[in-house]
Amino acid sequence: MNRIRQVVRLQIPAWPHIVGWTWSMMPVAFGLNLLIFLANYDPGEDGVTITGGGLVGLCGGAIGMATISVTQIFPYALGMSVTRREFYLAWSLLAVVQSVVYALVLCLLRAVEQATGYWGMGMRYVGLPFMDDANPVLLLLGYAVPILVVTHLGILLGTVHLRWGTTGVLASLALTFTALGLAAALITWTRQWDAIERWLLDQPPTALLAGWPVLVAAAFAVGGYRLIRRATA
Amino acid sequence: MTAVVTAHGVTKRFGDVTALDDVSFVLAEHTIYGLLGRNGAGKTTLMQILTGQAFASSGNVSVFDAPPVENPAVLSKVCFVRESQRYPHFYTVRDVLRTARRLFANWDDTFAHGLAADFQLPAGRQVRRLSRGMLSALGVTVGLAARAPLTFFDEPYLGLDAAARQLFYDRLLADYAGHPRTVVLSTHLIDEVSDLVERVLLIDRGRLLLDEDADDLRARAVAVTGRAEAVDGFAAGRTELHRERLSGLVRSTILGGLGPHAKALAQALNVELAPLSLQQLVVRLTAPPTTTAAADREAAR
Repeated sequence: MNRIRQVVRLQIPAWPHIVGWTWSMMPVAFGLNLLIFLANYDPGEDGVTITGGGLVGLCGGAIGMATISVTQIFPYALGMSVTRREFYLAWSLLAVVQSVVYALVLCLLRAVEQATGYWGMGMRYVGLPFMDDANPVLLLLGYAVPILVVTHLGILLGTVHLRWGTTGVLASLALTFTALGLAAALITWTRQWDAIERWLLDQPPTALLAGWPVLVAAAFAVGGYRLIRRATA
Repeated sequence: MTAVVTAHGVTKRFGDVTALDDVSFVLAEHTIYGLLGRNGAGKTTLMQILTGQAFASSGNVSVFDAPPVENPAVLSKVCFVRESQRYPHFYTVRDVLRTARRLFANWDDTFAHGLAADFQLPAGRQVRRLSRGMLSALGVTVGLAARAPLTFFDEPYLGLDAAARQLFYDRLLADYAGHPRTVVLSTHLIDEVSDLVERVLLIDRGRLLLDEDADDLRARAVAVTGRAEAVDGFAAGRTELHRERLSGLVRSTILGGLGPHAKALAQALNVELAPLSLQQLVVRLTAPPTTTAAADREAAR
């Protein structure tokens, strides 16, 4: 465990950049959302408008930073006699800790958002409506687990890059989008969208916010680990 | 002899290219090796396989009695300073020394900072902004201060000036005396390290050509200079590696020692014998086959 801790610390010099770039997307996205929101703002109209831009920007940043940290630091770690297994365990552990810390910050921002009447204009930027009834633990998980999913997606993309370079990343993205598009077409042809919607609505909040996403994160983690086992610097 | 590394039939293929072809050898503890060979001979690939950074297509490698791949017990005793080592974008020299301190069990921080000062490495500068020479100096600093029982230096002095290279040799020898370990130096500057290395591994086009004591190797070939007929007489029955014409005289590189019999024969034939430097021997052994020697011989007649 001590060795894993030392490997985790390989990321310390890059933290200001990783955390900075990830969270700097938040105020930028906030400003853009605000501009668009104000364009359609009607002070006489009641209600809350959902933008969700804060989470999208954060998730995008988390994917990019995870990918960069793997591609930048893995060749160095291997040169410092770190095993691939140690590196991957360290990065997975880091992803969990980072997701919980980011989720705590998001919970705090959500509290600020609610306390300020949705930024004084009814603009829901950080919170999502299905979280309104969640207890504090579920709320935390509801933020942490999706961040864990996207971080592991970033790590997976990083390992694809280590194995097959930019061409590998682009090819895997193209294949994934093709597969998802074909799946959507199949669902449309078989008229299954209603059934899927019903299935989603029937899921308990815990499963929807944390359970299923954890399985997705685990699938990404297993995929990334299998790829990095044969990666070279 | 306690074996630190045992390689048996190691082969590495990249598609149609065979980078290493059935390479077998043993590295002993507390010895400085010179891993010599031309560009693309397979030196770096071999070191990558020995340190678990790359995978052999076939053959077996044992380092400290175990396979090195994904083996923390083995890798904790190994340091590989690679010429093309990639450093994270945001890392400074200080970050590299700090992380190396945490990861290498035998790390000597005082020694590391002394070396960094000697090489005038700016601690706060980002590694990507270092010159080629400073980058090499950083690698040398890590490799020496790690004091790993098995240390590989892959072309460690690219870009280093003569004074900095001498500093490296001096520090290596001084530290080796106090902390013996197995060091493998892969280099093109053969003559510079010839007094440093105790044993030579010579690789050419993926094959191991030589695995000999450096002293034995130095005595293995001679340069014979004299008239063509006299040199022919000396070379008869011996293996001639190279021949060239020098203003009416012929100089031939011949395998075989400078024993008393050879000296007597040289005296009788009136040819001059001179020892061959390690670098000349490596050049002669790894030069691509040409018809120059035969042509020179004809011209000399």
